[in-house]
Amino acid sequence: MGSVKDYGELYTSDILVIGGGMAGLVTAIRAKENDPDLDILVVDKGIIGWNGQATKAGNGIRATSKHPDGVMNALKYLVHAHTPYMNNQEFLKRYLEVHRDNIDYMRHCGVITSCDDEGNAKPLPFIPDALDMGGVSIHVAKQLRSFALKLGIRLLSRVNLFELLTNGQGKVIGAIGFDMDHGECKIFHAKATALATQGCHFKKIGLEFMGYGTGVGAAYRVGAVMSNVEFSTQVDVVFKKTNTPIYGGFNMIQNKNGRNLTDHYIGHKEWEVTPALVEAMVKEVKDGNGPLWVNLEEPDEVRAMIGGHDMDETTQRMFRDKLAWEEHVFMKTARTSGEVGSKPETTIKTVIQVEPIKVDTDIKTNVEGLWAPGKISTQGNAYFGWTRGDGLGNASTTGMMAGDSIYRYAREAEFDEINVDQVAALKEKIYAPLHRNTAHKPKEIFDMIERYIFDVNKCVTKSAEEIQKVYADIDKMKKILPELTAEDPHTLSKCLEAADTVLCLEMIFRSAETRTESRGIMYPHYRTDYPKTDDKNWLKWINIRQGADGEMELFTEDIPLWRYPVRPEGYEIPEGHAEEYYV
Amino acid sequence: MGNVTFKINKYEYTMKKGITILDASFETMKFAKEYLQQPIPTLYYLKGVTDIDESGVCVVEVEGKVVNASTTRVKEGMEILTNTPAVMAARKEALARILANHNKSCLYCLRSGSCELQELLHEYGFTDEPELPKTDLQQLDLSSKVLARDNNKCIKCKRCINVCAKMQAVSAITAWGEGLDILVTPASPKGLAASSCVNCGQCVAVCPVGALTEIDNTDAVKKALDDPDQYVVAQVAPAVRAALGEAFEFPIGVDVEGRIAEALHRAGFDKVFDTKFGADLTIMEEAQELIHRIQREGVLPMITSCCPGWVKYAEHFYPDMLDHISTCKSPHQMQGAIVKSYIAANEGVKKENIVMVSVMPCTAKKFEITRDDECGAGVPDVDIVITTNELAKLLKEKEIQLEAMNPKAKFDDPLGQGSGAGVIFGAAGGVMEAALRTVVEKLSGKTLEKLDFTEVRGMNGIKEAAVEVDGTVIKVAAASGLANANALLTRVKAGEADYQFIEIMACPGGCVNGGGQPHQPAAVRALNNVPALRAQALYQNDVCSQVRKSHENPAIKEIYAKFLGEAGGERAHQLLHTSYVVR
Amino acid sequence: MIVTNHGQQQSVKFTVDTDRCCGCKRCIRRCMENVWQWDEEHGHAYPKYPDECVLCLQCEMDCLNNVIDITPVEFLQVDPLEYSAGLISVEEMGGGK
Repeated sequence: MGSVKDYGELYTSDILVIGGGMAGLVTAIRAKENDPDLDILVVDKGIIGWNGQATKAGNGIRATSKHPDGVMNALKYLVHAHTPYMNNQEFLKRYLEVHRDNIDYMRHCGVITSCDDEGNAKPLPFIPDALDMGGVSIHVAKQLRSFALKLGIRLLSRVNLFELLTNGQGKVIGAIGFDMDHGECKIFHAKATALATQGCHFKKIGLEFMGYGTGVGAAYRVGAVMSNVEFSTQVDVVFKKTNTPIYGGFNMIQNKNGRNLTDHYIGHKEWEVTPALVEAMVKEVKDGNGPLWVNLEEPDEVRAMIGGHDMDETTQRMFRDKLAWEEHVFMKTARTSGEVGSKPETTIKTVIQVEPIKVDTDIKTNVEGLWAPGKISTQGNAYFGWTRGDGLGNASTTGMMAGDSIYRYAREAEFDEINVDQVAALKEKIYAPLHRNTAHKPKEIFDMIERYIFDVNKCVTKSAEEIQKVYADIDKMKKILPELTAEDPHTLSKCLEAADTVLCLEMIFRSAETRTESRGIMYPHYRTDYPKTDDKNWLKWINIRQGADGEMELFTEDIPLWRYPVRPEGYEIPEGHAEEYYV
Repeated sequence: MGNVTFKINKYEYTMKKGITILDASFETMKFAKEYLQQPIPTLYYLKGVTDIDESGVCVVEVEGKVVNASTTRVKEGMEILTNTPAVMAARKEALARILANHNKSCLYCLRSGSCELQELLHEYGFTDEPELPKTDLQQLDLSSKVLARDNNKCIKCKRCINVCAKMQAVSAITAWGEGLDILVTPASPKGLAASSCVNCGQCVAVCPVGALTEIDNTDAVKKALDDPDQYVVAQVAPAVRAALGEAFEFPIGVDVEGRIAEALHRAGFDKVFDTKFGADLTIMEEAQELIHRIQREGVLPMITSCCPGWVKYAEHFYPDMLDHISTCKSPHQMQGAIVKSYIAANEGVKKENIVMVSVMPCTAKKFEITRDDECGAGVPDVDIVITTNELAKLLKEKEIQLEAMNPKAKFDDPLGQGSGAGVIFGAAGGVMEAALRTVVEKLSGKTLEKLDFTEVRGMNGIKEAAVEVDGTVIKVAAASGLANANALLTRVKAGEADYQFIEIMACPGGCVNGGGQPHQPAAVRALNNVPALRAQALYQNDVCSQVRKSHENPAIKEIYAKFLGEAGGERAHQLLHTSYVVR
Repeated sequence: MIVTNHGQQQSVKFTVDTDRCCGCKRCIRRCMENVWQWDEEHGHAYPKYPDECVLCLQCEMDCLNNVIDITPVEFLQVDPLEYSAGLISVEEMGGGK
């Protein structure tokens, strides 16, 4: 048995942050500011400062209002907003308290945010006295990178990590992966690890960014608990020609005979694309009443509220970088596809995300030495609110929370010895696809998975029957996975990502099968065989972990509403529990 | 002076009367309204060097007319538009004119990526490619061993002419003709080497394109590193640590001392030393020499000899004052001599097999190693000099990420230990301050309480101070920028000033602003005092040092005790002192 | 250099004027999906893995010499509504061909 260095280049640091996007950088910065003596290393598969969703996705950032009751107002709003009463209100309260300083902290870190004439951050009230909203530069990751370097944080780019290392007691003590340019093995040894990779997005089309769930997979294999995976699908109504969203256009859909679908099937104005509407759209197309279209000439109050009007000057100023980029993309699109016209055809676009790592109020997972800030834990923390519209705010706030907690742990902890056998085994597992020689390529798996995005019956309106069909597909994919062949670092990472993506897919349908009810508005869980919401039996979270036999193990957890301030009407404290919350 | 109120792109500002439109646009950036606008583009303008921008890109629209923003002054109620179609067309036309005569061999150009012309072409969307002009070898001046001039790339901005004449009072570069037809040439028809060029490299630092570059010595370094028989030793000048980060997208003024040490170790150097040690040695010798001259009524004022640009300037323009210049070698030569004698003996390496590589912020150091009487140990003290820019290139080629290096890594002992006095050598006035810390203590025999001589700090061209030691007053002065040095020496020669000790640095602001430091474009220089930011990093480093006086550096004490004998002694004289010639 | 991809959701055409590539590697730095790689032999960047492109076009925006042109040939090849209604079969979706 040799030493660890025989297997690859060894990097040692007090705190290892995996993922150099906004969440990872904020975690590192916050921890370093709390204790400048800590040696912090941030690792990313791309180039830190230009990578991460924050450099491309939205460019608004929210913060809890500074109103004295801001936190409670926001909490009440969020609990009712999207998936009522499913929230972890303890987490949410702590989150909203930290969230209050969100924009100010970003400015402290050198991030350019929208400001008044004196240069002070001045967020616009988004939901009055509850949530504020400001603009943030699209170069936010680069600005955070500068600040991190100033503090003396180490940044290592273009290294892709796939597995976590543990000591004998299951504590995470590092990670292993390879360099994306040369495929050389890199081993990381740390006292504490923060996993700030994004989740898994089964989507890969026009400006939707694909995470592959490698972080989820790695955490799952060291015993982390996942939660709320069934709430993972969101639907947009889009222009068929360009596949870009028609903001707020979901009440305006007509079939070829000019019949309005919302009026006919639902009967009242909607504020989100609901599964019922999607079901109706599919039915119309099936009945030969397609193509569906929207009449943009006709005024619509929901569209006017959500996105139909032009931005005012202040808002435009706020979003300058983003607008420049969007204009470029829009020009390109318009040149290729032509104008959409005033009566465009419409269809849907689904987004599926798995971001399930269960964390406590310190963003710590149930595995010792492992934190999970950022997108990777937005389902697991049971926020269930406007997170999915405030990805940047979520990244910075959870980063701040993780940074405040991880530095204390790292300061006290000792370096545990790396198990060389484990390194050898994991390295062999990671590099296995390079030594195979079959015709199976990772694209095969991704093509199969991408089909679910088109299949409304599987991703939006689920049923026991359809779920069984998915299981059959997953079995097929699992047979292909050990056969995948890679020839260079890029395809090697694709092979490994394919396996984790399949794992995430299985998590969705396992939890969806277990939850025999329908619930939620944005990111809904909808079962055609159980279309009603069942508060009596299902005020529960569904958790997943790797069982002792290596198979997926599901277990439910009662939502401790007796500890929470906001409860459903007529809620009764279950037997064996007592009222624990007093305002 | 009154104020004027005017509008830029419809936003209202109030500023002092007489300001040009261009300066006003830079001022607006300070309002933290980054979302409002970008500064007006420039190609010829450079703050403090060239005030008038005749490139044709620095234009705006006022009352329907396109005017030059660098010459037009703001009037009350003026409405300035910076990005109308007419302005854009004018800028594009100007760029096309410049481009027609520019050799676009970007792929091989050292300046690619930090080229101001390239950035502008990108911004103004040049997609059509005219035929590439062939490189005219007649226009290539490789006569100098230090600086290369390529007129094929020159865009006739005259920044180099201005900086050489106005700031450096050297005038080694001149121009013939007018407008875009001018020809920028060395003052001597035989090329730059035959002119009075002092190799300070300020022309390289200001050149917006790659028409002036240092001669690249990285290949020689790579060859030495690959040769197993060579013992390759690196030493890093103080000013390098304050600027190298900029080449790796660090913010300006971040101290990367530890990161450089680790990066050079990873690059394969056998030993990595810090020129801080050499600087301490210089102080020991120079202080001894000064005390000697004061006590024995030698030639006063004594002038520092650390700066090879200044030494060559004196040899050209002040041959009668060569007696005033200290006979001490510059710090990196001293360190080289020690490495090839003391370290060679200690490590058991033949001095002929040692390759001494100096990493310097300076192009003139490349000339210095070719001088006579710089072979203390019988072999050249230093074999190769590379600039900060070249080090960045070397690290990038070896795929070493500076940002991933440990900021707390250390240089090798014993020549890696330096005092805080050694590190401030990189800033103008720093040598003076470091010398005073030692001289005052040695003369008075008491411990200094206040170590900071703030009078000699800052970016002023000439700084003066008077220090009282036991009743006698030592009058000192520090000048940076050769034009300032010229003014100071004229006063000294005329008997108008009676200084005992003078520090002269060829580059304005000292070594931090050296000719080999990373290029910063005009817009950055207009908004930030780049040398001051870098100097700040060095002063910070000094404050954080445990030893802040050269004579208290334990490694210095040890080398005098074990090897050199006493300061100014016979052995020290042989190794550490040099002589000058009239040119 | 012209490279095209044929995903089942989108087809994209990359036109890269490699002769004018200035070697700044901004495209490589920008790309989240590792599309761009550096050709050591010829000294230019090129889209080695065009299949991964998500059409964010940031490489195109960042390119110093405007060397990159990315054109979506077709945005949406399969309508999810028609597919879910059973009007398109899996075979018709293509992908990877």
